[in-house]
Amino acid sequence: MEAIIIGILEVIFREAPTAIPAIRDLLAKKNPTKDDFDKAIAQIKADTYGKLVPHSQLPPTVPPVTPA
Amino acid sequence: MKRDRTVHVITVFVLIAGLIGGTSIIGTSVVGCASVSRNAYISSGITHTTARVALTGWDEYLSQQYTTVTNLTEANPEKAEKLRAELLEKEVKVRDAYEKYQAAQLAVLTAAQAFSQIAPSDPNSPRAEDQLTASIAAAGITLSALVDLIQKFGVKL
Repeated sequence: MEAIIIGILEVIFREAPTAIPAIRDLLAKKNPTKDDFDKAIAQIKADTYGKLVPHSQLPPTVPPVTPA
Repeated sequence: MKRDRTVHVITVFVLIAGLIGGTSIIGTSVVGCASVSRNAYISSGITHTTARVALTGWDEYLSQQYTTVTNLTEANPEKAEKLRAELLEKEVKVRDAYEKYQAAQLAVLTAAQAFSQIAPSDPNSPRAEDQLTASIAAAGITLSALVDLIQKFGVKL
């Protein structure tokens, strides 16, 4: 199944070749470890709206202040 | 043309992620929790790549629109300000939709990680699987909502 998926993606992503290696890495994981999941979670947390949309003109979100 | 391909790419990603997520649920009784968690991990990665592609398209659109606002400011400041306000309103909605998707995606990975630690014979396994199934479905809905919103707001197909 992975070969079929890679084949489809290779056709579609001629304009975004950087996505193919990332997908290959994903499919190469036979048994994701706790560390793999932790890294995936960290990546999603790091991909904030502000980071992915650099032309945004929204003010940055201010995290809530923790009382002393 | 580039935006047409962007949306076509997103559609393929969503379908593939759905296929992987769906087969992971069907295959539980045959191959066990590790494969289900693996497929959820892969599905999550592909889905997140889709979300990133969608936001890239949104960013390109915003870049053009805010440039229009800048160019219009001197000639017609009122119209420029109105357009800018409309863009900011749209941005808030897209940002909110993306953050809902983010939360849903984190729930998938957390559930998949927990499920991967459970033996198939564990009595908690069915409940953990149900939680994983529900979280995958919810993440799919939030991704679709994000993509639909971006398209509705002007990323042309």
